[in-house]
Amino acid sequence: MTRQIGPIVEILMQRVRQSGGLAVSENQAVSIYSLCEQITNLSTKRVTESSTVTIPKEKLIFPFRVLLPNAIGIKRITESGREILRARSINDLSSYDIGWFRSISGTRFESWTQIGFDLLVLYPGSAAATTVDIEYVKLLTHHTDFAASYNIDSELPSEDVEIALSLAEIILLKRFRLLTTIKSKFTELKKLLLQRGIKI
Amino acid sequence: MNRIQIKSLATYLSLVGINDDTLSQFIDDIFNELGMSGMVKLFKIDIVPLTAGTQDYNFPADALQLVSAFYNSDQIHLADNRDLEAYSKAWRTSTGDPKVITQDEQSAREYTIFPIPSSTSDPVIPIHGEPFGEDFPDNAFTLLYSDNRQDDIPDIYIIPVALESIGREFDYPSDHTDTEFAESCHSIAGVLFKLIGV
Repeated sequence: MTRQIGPIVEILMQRVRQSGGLAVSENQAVSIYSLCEQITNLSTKRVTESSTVTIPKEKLIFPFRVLLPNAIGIKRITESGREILRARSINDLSSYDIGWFRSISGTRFESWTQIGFDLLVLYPGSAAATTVDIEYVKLLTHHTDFAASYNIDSELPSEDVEIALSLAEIILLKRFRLLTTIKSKFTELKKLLLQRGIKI
Repeated sequence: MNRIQIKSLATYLSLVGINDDTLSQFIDDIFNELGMSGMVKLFKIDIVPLTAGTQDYNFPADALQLVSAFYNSDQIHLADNRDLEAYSKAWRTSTGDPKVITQDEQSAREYTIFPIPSSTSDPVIPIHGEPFGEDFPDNAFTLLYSDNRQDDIPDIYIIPVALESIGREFDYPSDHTDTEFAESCHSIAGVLFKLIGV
């Protein structure tokens, strides 16, 4: 079941409302909440998308956010249904083949690795243009307009919405210097994350 | 996303009159520190044209930390003078295909290549629009580095960097110093950095 952005942000605004205090604007609340959705999804890696990408011949290194503008992390790459193995880093590729950077040997990819939030390496380069299927962790939409996003479904699974909501609540409470409340909210957030196997 | 958006959120969350200049400086410092410590996840790759007989070059202006270097297809070793001494007694004068990059005897923004390049790189002519594909030039030297970009920063950095910068701003001696609040900001920023994998 999905939840809509508007009602979630209304809950957030109720939680951070301070009697006699300054109000949080709806647009700021939706902006901070959706940034928290992005962070939540990057840590849980539960909202993914897949795309078929054309790989030009002799090219091994790609700025993957240009190829896949909604991607923030690569999860899996397959070529004709065969999964390509992931190398932990370029050092693994280097240990295997010192000349990996321009190795154009093949008809099939053997390995891939991601370099930060920018670059993807597919090894070895292909002698002809080909396609691969890439499954990636989606960078969720950053909403900044409360009214426009009110009826839009949150992309997060409903069970993860509370993580993003708690994060946004803690961040907005900072504005009011409610440090004791933040501390207890933080303990609750840690428990939520632990339930998902995320230790902080 | 760019650094101005981070600053704008930091100003919103801090509520009191925050010092604009120090806040900008703290945001720059955070990106520099993350980049230098190898924890940053923002990388760039550039082809550097080599000239035969020239071994000293400057890093690109936005480079923070060198991750790797390549000559044609080979990954180049990062070394110091002692390593070079072991590599060849004539390392200071030998010429050939670059095998090693070093920053010994250089300032922070420069590096030296050994052996001294014997060939000049072909120019990058992107006939197919693929400088790292079909158009990759012969005798090319390539640098992979973490960079100090102002724009094209993924949105996921906005909140953690904004909170860390607020923490530093309120740690800093001023008329609004608040170490307890600063500590709380550092602590939440640290958790967020962990969540995004920094």
